[in-house]
Amino acid sequence: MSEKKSVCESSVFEELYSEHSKSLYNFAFYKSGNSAQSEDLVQEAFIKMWNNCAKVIFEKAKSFLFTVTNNLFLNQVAHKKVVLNYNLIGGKESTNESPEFLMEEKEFMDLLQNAIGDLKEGQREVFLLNRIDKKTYKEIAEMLSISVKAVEKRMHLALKQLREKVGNI
Amino acid sequence: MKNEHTDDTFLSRWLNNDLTSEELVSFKKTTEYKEYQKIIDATQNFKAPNFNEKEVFEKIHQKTNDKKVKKLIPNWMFAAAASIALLLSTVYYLTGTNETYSTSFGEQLALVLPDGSEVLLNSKSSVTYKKSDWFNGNRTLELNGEGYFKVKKGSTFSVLSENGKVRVLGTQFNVKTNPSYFEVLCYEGKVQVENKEELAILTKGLSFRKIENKSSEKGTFINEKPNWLDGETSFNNAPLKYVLEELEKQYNIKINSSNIDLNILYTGAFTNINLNLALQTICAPLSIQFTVDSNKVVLSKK
Repeated sequence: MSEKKSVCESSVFEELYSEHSKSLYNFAFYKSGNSAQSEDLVQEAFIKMWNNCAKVIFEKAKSFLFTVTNNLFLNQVAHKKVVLNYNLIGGKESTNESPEFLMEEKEFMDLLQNAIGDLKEGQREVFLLNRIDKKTYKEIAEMLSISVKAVEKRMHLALKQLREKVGNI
Repeated sequence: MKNEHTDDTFLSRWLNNDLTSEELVSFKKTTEYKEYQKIIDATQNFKAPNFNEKEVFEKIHQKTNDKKVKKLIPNWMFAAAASIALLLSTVYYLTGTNETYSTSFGEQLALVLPDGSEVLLNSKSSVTYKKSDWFNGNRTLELNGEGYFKVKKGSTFSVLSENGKVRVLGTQFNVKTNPSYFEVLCYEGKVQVENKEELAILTKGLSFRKIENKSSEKGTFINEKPNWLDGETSFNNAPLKYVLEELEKQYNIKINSSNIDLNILYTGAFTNINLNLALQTICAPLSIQFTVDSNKVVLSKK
């Protein structure tokens, strides 16, 4: 085993931050749909880790961060019904498609967006962590402290429910 | 065929390319497949909002900065400091040094004892106590001179003096003890006074006094607190000798009183601020003349 890294070292702390802050932020965002709240959650989680740095071993830092963020989120009880606004990327500048087709596309995207917003929190975070952040099921399982099997089930249900809502277009 | 993808992780396995080729082929034939594929394709176009990684880190950095400064002191330093402190306190505890506070001429001193009780010391007085005793709940101190005590409720509180012992549980009282003069006034609660010969219990408004070898006297008074706290020294039927002694203490003067009768009883109070005024208040009623020369005072009969 390599030398033990102490979370109390600021270099180690910074390393953990650059490695995990982004996915922690996305994770919080998929839960809350609120970017300002998500930034606060990330901030609080890292401060909490720093304050408890003696108790957090390096190998467990990641799951500590995700657990803390999750708990902090649950503590902020008054979260609204989540309506997510996902930024569209890769929007084509010019296209040969007909206006009619583009309209339909736009409609479909809106519908899908709403459907994702309507997913259960647990399903939504799994689905988006996998689809957008390209996290493997195993990684997600670690983050959420649940089994890989549970992640797969949530994934399956999420996709199934999305199709039921937007499928027949 | 159609129901093949209904087990509860089928779609997950599909996304993960974990389906067997047969499963995949049959799945692709279904109508749902296209819809799923469309959703998955569309999802590629989503992303989470930008995360201000640097900004948030700055905030974290600010909030944790104070703590970081402290952390620069290595942990072993704390351990070392703690063990030294422990060692010192053990030594201290075992040997138990005496704490002494004293006042000089004309001074007063307010003290808070380890248990929170208060002592106000009049001039030319001192208290001594052992800190270690107090931490063991043994509230004992030695008094020389005059002190006013406001005692916190708790275990027995004892004031030792060469003239006797005063014991209380929680109260306010004044003790004045000189080699030949011993006076206790109880301002609140109950006080037990004990000397070689007798034992007396004082309640509010009662006083106990013993002068030299005369038998002790009990008296009453109505003040809420000792006069000396307000810058006056008062006496009730006290021999002039002690009044003059007290005056010497307050003003750091030497009084020559060889020509007058020191056993006259004096009742009254003198100020601790103005010597001339004080001398007048003592001497006028007793028909005594006084002359002041720097710090020497000579008294004579009129």
